Amino acid sequence: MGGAIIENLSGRKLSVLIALLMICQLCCFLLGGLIAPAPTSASTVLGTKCYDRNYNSSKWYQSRPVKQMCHSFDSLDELESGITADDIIFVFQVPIPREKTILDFSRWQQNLIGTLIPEVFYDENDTGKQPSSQHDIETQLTVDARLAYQNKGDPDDKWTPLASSVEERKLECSILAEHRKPGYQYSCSLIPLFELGSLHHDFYLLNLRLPNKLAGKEVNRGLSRLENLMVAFINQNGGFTKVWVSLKTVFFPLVVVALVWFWRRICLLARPPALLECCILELGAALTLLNLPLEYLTLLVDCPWMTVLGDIRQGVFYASLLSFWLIFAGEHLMFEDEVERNRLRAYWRHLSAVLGGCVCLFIFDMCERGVQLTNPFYSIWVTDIGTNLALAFIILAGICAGLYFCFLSYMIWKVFVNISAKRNSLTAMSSNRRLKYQGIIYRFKALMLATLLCAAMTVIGFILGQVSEGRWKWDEDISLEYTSAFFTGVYGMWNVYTLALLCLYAPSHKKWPREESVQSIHGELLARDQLNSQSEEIEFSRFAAEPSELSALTALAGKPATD
Amino acid sequence: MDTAKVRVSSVKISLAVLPLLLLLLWPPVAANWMYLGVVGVTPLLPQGDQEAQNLSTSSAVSICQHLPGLVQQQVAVCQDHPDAIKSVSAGARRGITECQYQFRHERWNCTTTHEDPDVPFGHIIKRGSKETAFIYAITSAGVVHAVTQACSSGNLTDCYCDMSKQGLSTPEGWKWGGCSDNLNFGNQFARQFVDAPEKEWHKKEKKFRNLMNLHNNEAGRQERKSELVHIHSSPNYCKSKPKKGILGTSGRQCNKTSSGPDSCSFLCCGRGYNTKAVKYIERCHCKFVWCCRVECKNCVTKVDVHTCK
Repeated sequence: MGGAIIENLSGRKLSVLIALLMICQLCCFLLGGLIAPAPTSASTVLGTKCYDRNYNSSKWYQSRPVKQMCHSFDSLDELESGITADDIIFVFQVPIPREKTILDFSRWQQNLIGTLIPEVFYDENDTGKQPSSQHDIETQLTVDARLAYQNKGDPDDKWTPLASSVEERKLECSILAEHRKPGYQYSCSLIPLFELGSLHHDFYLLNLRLPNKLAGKEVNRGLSRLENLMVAFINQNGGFTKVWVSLKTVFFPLVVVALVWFWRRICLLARPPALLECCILELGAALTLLNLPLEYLTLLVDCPWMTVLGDIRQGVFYASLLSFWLIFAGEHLMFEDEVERNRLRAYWRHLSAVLGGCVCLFIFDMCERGVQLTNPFYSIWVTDIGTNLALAFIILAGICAGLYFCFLSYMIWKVFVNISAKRNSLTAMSSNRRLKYQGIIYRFKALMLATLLCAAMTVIGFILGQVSEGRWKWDEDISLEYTSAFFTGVYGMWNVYTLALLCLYAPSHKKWPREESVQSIHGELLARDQLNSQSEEIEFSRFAAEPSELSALTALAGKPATD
Repeated sequence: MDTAKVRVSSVKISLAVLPLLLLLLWPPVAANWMYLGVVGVTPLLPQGDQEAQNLSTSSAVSICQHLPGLVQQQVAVCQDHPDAIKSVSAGARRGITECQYQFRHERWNCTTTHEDPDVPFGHIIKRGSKETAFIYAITSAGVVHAVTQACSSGNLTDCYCDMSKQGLSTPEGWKWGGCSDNLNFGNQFARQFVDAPEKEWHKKEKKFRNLMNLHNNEAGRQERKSELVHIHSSPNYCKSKPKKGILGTSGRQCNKTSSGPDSCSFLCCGRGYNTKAVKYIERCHCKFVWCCRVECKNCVTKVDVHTCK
């Protein structure tokens, strides 16, 4: 890569640009913290217990309105005799009304996740039972689950089936010895139930059964006194989606403009684009893909695949970012075979670690989310084979990540070794070479600093988020929604980072004739800048006549012996 | 407010069994709402009226006036939240069940009576004893629990959606940032409904007894355990004194080997006990099978049953 704008920019222009980007970053953080609500909200719904001696799997049992309400009962003790588990239906109708208002889901709320919370009471008859493991109850829960939806304007009893499935889940409960009395509850682990990638309809109805017999097999025998089922319904908050999508809507054109400008600059060069320039271009393209506010589409069309697409978009961006760091470090190694390095092939080992990790995560994601497109109740974690497979992919991805960080650390260490070596010999070099190396060192250090700053901010932000309760109070009136601020802050940060890369690491070749050696000119400029830091306007002077930038580089690289 | 008081007083006079002294010593304590837990809501409604049974219709407002023994503020709260009255009844019932379970081995075993709607626990509740304190706390806790449950199952539509931070009204506010949990509403509702009679009486008569009930109501609502307060000592509950609402322990089963309150010597108050040898075919090695049966083996046992004289 030839001289970049960052080296040629005067200190004042640079500081103005950096200040602008910092303000932009701060805005993103405050937007999330002050305007957006928490990213998600959960409401725990207690299942209405209904019974029907002639249970019909095509009939929908609902708890509201009163006219359509199923036959319900409060406690297992008051249940008529002769009713078996096969006749009992747990009904969850969401959203639940508040303040005498019937609520309906908005498409801005994006997705819906359901987690099962069983309420199992200690039964006097449990006394003789010896716990077989660390849990007092450890059994298979077989759930016959059905999900339907209704829209505003539909008749009260019209429910359109969305999914139905018989699922196995693991139920693990334990109880303290001193609470082994009737009336006390076991504490049970939460059970993931379903994930809907799109919240397209207004009302949802979940019917659950824990039958005794299923296809001639006895199931659910070890449940003990399960009195209630609760489901925590978790959805993205509409306000958060609005803020998030606005952020994307603003960043999308900004990055596109920067990308086009960057591309035009490269096209103006006489030489073919360097590998690093292609890399930055690719990073910008991946970010544009991520920024594309496709979420607007979900307001009109039912897009269950949006979460999968979102994962892919995010994956592509982070893969590009990781590859970019590798190649950036590699291209600044300042070895003498620089022409050789300027090829993707030189990085195949390093990049295959990134690629391998991404492929593993992609396969894992497709196994879970992909199948959920057809069956929202599916979870890869419930079967042993699925769990092992999922773990295998995650471990593989982990190994790839480890390998990647080894490669990257090694390369960065190499660069620093080379920098200190070159620094010692700088004075002995010809001014041409000296300026070239000074440029490389400057570019590298600037990016290292920025990257470390970004990474540190992400990590610190994450840790602070874990420590705090999710909401920070400044005073009575102002409270900061920290989780949202972290999300928008990090999102804004990588946008700002990429924008800065596109602006500052674009090839610098203002106004001067193409034939000239940019390399030499920018070196000269750098020297001038250092001499006279107040000089705001950069003047260009002919330094040396060379056929092209690339040949200048080649020529320089080809005569190490002279130094 | 006045009608309620007159009602309570007139009942007392019509009973004509309470000495005048008692009336002066013990203020008329309205614990009548607890009666809803003994009989439930449905029998108290005008029969055969489908619309009236449907509590969510506007005619339900009149139902609140049909319920006996509520003070004026309770009627107002009931009219504001007609659906919640079912939960009050369920909560009081849950409280009574729990009380009977907790006191099943004691001399006083939390017996309720259907006879007089004004005193569901008998006249014993008029004494500020620790048993009364427990009744107040446990029924108050029952109401909070039942209302909270009704909120989270969506059967009660009145529950709050706290959106004070965003300053948005409910449907928009909920779509923007969701709602807080339901626990608050249960507590606030119980404070308005359960405490109303005590507050009303206290305003009029400034009796320490009302403050005691208020304290115990609040103690029941708190999740953490807090001390109950009582101002009278408990009677011994040994002999049957129908005037005071004490049933006595005669006829209660006792445990010969126990040294606790259910022991024969304590429970029978030294009157001795009858012993009968009974051959039981008992269910043993039981296991609760979801749902809803208990699988047992039959064991034949010979047991001596002791009953207080």
